[in-house]
Amino acid sequence: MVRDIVDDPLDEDDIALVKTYGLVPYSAPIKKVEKEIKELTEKINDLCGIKESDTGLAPLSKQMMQEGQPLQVGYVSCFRYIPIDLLMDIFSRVPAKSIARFRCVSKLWESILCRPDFKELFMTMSSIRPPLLLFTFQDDDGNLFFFSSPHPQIPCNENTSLVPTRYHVQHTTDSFSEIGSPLCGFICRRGKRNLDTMVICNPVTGESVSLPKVELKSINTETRPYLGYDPVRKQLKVLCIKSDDIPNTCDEHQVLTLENGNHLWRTIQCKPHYPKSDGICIDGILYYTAGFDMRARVSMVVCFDVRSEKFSFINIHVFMLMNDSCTLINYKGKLGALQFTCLSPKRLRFWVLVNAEKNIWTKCIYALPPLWNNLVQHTELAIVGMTDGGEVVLSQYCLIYAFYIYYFNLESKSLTRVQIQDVEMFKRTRVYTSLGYVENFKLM
Amino acid sequence: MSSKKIVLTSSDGESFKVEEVVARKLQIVGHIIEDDCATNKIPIPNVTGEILAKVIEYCKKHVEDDDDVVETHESSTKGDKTVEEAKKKPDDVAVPESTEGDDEAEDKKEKLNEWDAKFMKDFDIKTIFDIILAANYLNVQGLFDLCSKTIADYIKDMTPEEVRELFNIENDFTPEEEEAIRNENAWTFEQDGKQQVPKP
Repeated sequence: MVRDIVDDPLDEDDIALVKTYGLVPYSAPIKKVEKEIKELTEKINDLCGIKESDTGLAPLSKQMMQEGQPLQVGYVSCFRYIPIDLLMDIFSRVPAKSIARFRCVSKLWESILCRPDFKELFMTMSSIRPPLLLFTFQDDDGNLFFFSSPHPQIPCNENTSLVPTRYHVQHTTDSFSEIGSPLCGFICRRGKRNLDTMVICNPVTGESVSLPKVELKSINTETRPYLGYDPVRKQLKVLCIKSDDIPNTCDEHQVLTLENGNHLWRTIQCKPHYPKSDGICIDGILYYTAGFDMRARVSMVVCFDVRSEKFSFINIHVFMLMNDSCTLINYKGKLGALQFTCLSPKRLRFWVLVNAEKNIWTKCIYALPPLWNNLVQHTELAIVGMTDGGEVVLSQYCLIYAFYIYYFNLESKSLTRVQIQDVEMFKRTRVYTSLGYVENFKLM
Repeated sequence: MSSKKIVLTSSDGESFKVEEVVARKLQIVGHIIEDDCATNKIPIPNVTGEILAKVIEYCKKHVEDDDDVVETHESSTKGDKTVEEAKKKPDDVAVPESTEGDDEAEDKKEKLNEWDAKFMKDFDIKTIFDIILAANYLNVQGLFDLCSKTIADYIKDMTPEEVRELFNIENDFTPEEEEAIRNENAWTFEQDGKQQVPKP
């Protein structure tokens, strides 16, 4: 082998190779393989339409190899050698608004940002970050406007305000919509008059998909959609609960798995009940409160296992005094519930289900702080939920003069009011405020 | 723990003598040590001395973190990327979980986060890119995440023009193509005038 090399005349590449690696028995195969690598790389880049300098994988120049130095980059060119997976990691940590804007930077960046594996990574990283506030407004023409914002840094002073990010406008034909809680970046809505039609929206992408119509047996049948997520199979499902004016007559409900393009309802059985609250999904179980019919009190929490699609129930005793205004929350992985008391003085009830099998709840009642009367005055507030830091978030139902949300810290008993700016054009419109919004670029 | 010293040599010949426990924070080095492939001298051919010094400084500070060390006698797995949220508990709820140890760990973590922020503040953006490339190559996950987050925060409010300038990227869209993408994502541009975010 060595003798063969010596007998051949050395060309420029041979000299460079010898300088870099020294003379070794495998010099000829190395030279051959490197040539093949270079040719294959160029072929791949041609097929992808990627410039050599964009990939960070450009082969070392001859000069660098001759000098025996590893890659040294100057200021101007150093960013050309950022690997794509590192770029994707950085992109997964910026807000969705930045992602949409960066698609304009170059064709390479647009191709990276549209890749399914990037969208998956972005979703994963969004889920790790503190979830966002989501505000949904509907104007008189039926258009839906979505805004999101990180929570303010608590504690904050009385002048703190938030400027939310505005997403795509959703145009609807419904003058009024019922908006469900967001889950995994999607929202399910249903027109107030078109009870058989549910629409899934993604505020970030602007996409909306009408699901197939739900079969309604009676003119009096009502529908309520819920979103549930199976974290094991990573499947998002829509559960459609039907209820009827006549109690105890509707035991068939429907479920649909949101997978790419294939949307079909399946019928599932469950005892008749009337849903009362929004749903909350904790570890693959969807929870909502329900009663026996529209007028009955809350008598149960319905638990729907998103993976197995089985129902179970937690009985709510009459003395718990849980009613329609109760808000279910995720309290450190456990099911919690928040509700204002009915009698004066107004107080806040907080339950936590500490043992689901034995139906054991803890219960606390919190007096509202003295500042409440000054800050809230006569505004009626909805309980939105609880942050990871233990603050109860409250929101106006309707925007009157200015839009505020309130943070009530149960531990320090402090109340903070935060103004949401740039939404003044939605005076006298209904506001849906949600916690736990996660930005998502995935398609349905 | 062993008091053995490891000498790391950078691409430009600079040598750093560190405790083995610190060297193991560089997972690629940890694997070399684990496989007994090395004496106490390990070359790091792709990283300059200036950058390697910063990586080692970070590793010394984070020597007690659990997530980066190659496990002895066990295969190394990447830990969860779950961010630990601050856990305040209402006084009256009967689910007591906190202990003094938890509070101490919380306080320590907070101080470490402050140190991280100060550590990153000293660098210009080029240096941060060099450090993240080194952290990626050496498999120092905590430093990689810290740099990635810092770069993300730096660029998140930039316009496409500013990003191209920073990354030295040529705009290979035709004006019509760029216009089409801008229109498709008009919502990300319309508020730019209002939101005056000061840049670091």
